[in-house]
This record gives sequence, structure tokens and C-alpha cells, in this order.
Amino acid sequence: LGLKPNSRAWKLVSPEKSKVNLRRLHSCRRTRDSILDLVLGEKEGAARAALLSQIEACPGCSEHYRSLSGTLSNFDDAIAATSPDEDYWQAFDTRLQNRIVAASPSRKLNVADIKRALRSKVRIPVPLAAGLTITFMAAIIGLATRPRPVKIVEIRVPGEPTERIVEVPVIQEKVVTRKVFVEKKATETVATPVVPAADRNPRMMVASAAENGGSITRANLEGFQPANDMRIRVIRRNDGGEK
Amino acid sequence: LIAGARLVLNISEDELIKRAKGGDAEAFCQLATAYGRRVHLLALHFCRDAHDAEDLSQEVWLKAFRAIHTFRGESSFYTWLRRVLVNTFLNHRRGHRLRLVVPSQADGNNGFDALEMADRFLASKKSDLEQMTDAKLMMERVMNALQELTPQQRLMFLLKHREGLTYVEIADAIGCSIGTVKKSIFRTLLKLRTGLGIEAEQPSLEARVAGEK
Repeated sequence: LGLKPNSRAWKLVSPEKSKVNLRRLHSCRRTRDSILDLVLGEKEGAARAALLSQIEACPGCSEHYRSLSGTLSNFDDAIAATSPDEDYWQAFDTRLQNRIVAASPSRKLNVADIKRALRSKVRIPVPLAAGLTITFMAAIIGLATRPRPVKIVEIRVPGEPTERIVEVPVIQEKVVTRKVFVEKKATETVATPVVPAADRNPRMMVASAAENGGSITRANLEGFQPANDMRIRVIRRNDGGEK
Repeated sequence: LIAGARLVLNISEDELIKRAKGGDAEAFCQLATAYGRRVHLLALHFCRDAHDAEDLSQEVWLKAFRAIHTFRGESSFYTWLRRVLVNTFLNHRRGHRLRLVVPSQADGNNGFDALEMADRFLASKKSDLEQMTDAKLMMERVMNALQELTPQQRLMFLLKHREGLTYVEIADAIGCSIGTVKKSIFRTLLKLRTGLGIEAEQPSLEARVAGEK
């Protein structure tokens, strides 16, 4: 068994002392607890050999060990007998590969990917995370409440007349009005002062004559000064004619 | 099956993992080809139903594909994959009764029938009719005994007996104490023993011990 002479395991399994030692040291309860480890391959080397010796010396433990080993043996036989054959495996490999290719992340982004992205383990210190969050929120609020600049856009409709301001010279006319008092009783007398013929306004004289029934009336035109120049105002119509 | 032996194109596993992390589905398919059968066998033993097992194993691979970026290379790829597997198995829909006969090729899925497979296996052994009948009866008993286990008991037992994990590794994978794992596996073994009705017709202890020595 490869045990060192006079070692504890050797003493247990040595032909001279084994029977006496085993009868004295054996505990079925302890041994049966270890039998499970033995049949499942947890015991190796000297411990395995010592346990097998104890099992051999005890009929009850021996039966227990035999039944457990037989159970595993039958289980393995059943598993081997019901395993699929090669035809099944080839078809299985094809189906598995097709399934993996169909579920490739490059083809679709599923919910699990989103959850994984949200649960990614990026470790950020709490103060830094809080600062970043506050900054981010402030930026969003600032952008939302910022007044938008008003931009005037001139819209021109084709065919509509445009309006523009053009400077033109304006002639300011001064209108002078005078009240003329005429004495009705003095129709036969000559009005004084006498206005020189050159200064008489024929138009005014005609008007006065018409008002007095064709007779010439003397009028008081004291201080009246006719305009030295005469201006003509021409009003041009849109159709090109003159008025 | 030897894990990783079926990697094709002489590309190392590390390179495939690196590509898969970059979203290369083809590289991940090669990883799935290397370990897919091992995962699927475990799923088959866990579910004992071909359709459920296929759903389960595919779910494991899809979850692994989505989570491949979390693999840091601190353990082997299969160790990491096993964690995904354990979580997926335990979260798999409950209440599914184990079935011995599953839909076969009639549904066009190239499925398999566990008992039919067992018949073929026994026939290949060239045993006589009595031996075949006994063996088939034993297989049915194994299936029924597995059905009596809770999913967690079944998974712990499979991880220990089929995957060869230690108690510590199982406790770490499932998230419980080592004592809980030991008790659970021991109870599972006792249930299986009761279900199989094993008492006689077993090799003698001397013969077994002699064989182990």
C-alpha cells in the first residue's frame, strides 16, 4: 500500500495489529460517514486504505459500502446505455450553432443587453457621482428655461408691390388771406388810395365787379402786396395724363 | 468526451474566447462544439427529457454568449461555463416531470428515445433475453429514482459523480455549505439505492477491494 512502517495508517492495516486495533477503534457510525467519501472518490492514499481495512473488518459497514458502490455502478450503466448516438450529436451540434448565430448580439439588441448595460459595474466615488448628477440636472434645467432668441424672417410673396420711402423736394406755399371791407354807399366815389395800374390785379377787380352787379367798387387794399412770382403745380396722374 | 479535444482550425481556446468577446459568433460556436456535448449530457441526466435538455443546454450557451465579456480568464473556460450552467439549471422551469420516452424522429427533430437507446445498447452487448430484461428493468428503476429527487439534489449528485467536482467546488457553485452538499448527496445516494433495490447479486467486498488495490 506504500505506507511507512510504524506510521498510524500502517499500524491500522498491519497484519499483526490490525484486527485488535480495528476492533478497538472501529465505529460503524463514523465509518459509514466516511464510506460516502470513499465511493465518491474523496479518499485517497493512506486514508483510503485504512478505511477499506475498517470496512472489511465490519460486516455491517461492508454491506453498506457494497450497496452504495453497486448503486453508483448501476447508475453509470444506465447513463451509458441511454446516451445518444453519433447521429444525434451531429444534428445537435448543427442546431446549437444555428441558435447561437441567430442570437448573435450584432443582429438584435435585446432587453438583457440593456439591463446589463444599466447594471454595469463601473465604480465611481459617491461624491463624484453626486456632483456629476447635479451638474447634469442643472444643465438640463438651464437649457429648458433659457429664452430663445427671436429671429425675424422677412417673407416676400412674389407679385405683391413693394413699399419703399423716397425723399422728394416739397415746396412750401404760404397762403395769405386778407379781409376786404367794401363801403356800399361809396359806390360812386373813387376809392383811395389809387392803386397804380401796374399794381392792379385784374382778377381781383373782375371779382369785385361781379359781386357788385357789374359796377366797379372801390376796395381798401391797403398794405396788400401781391406775390412776386407765380408757381404752377402740376399733378400727374397714374395713367400719364395731366390735370 | 474529452473537453476541448474537438476544437477545430487549430485556433487556441484563448484566441476563440478573445474573438467571442468581440462578438464573433463563429468563434463562440467552436467553443460550443468543443464543450456542447458535455453540457448537453449533463442536461439530459438532469432533465431525462430530450426536448427539455436541449432547451436547457441551448439556454446555457446563449447565456454564456451574452456573458462572455465577464469571463476574465482567472479560471478555465469550462469552470466559468459550469457556473452559468448551474445557475441556468437551478432556475430552469420547475414542475417538469421526468419522462422516459421522449418524442423521437417523428417530429423531425432527430430526437432520441432513452429506452430505445438502452435497447440498442443492450443488444450490442449480445446478452441473452433474461439479462436484457433485467438490465432494462434496472434502467427504468434508475430513471424513476432520479425522478424522485429534487432538482438541487439531482444537480449536486451529477456534479459530484459525473463532473467529479469536490464538495468545496459544489458548495461554491451552488452557494451553500459543504455540510449541506454532503448531506444532500448522501441522501440522494440512499434514495437511489432504495429505488434500485440493490441488496444482492453484487460483487463481494473482497473482490471489489482486491480490484481497487
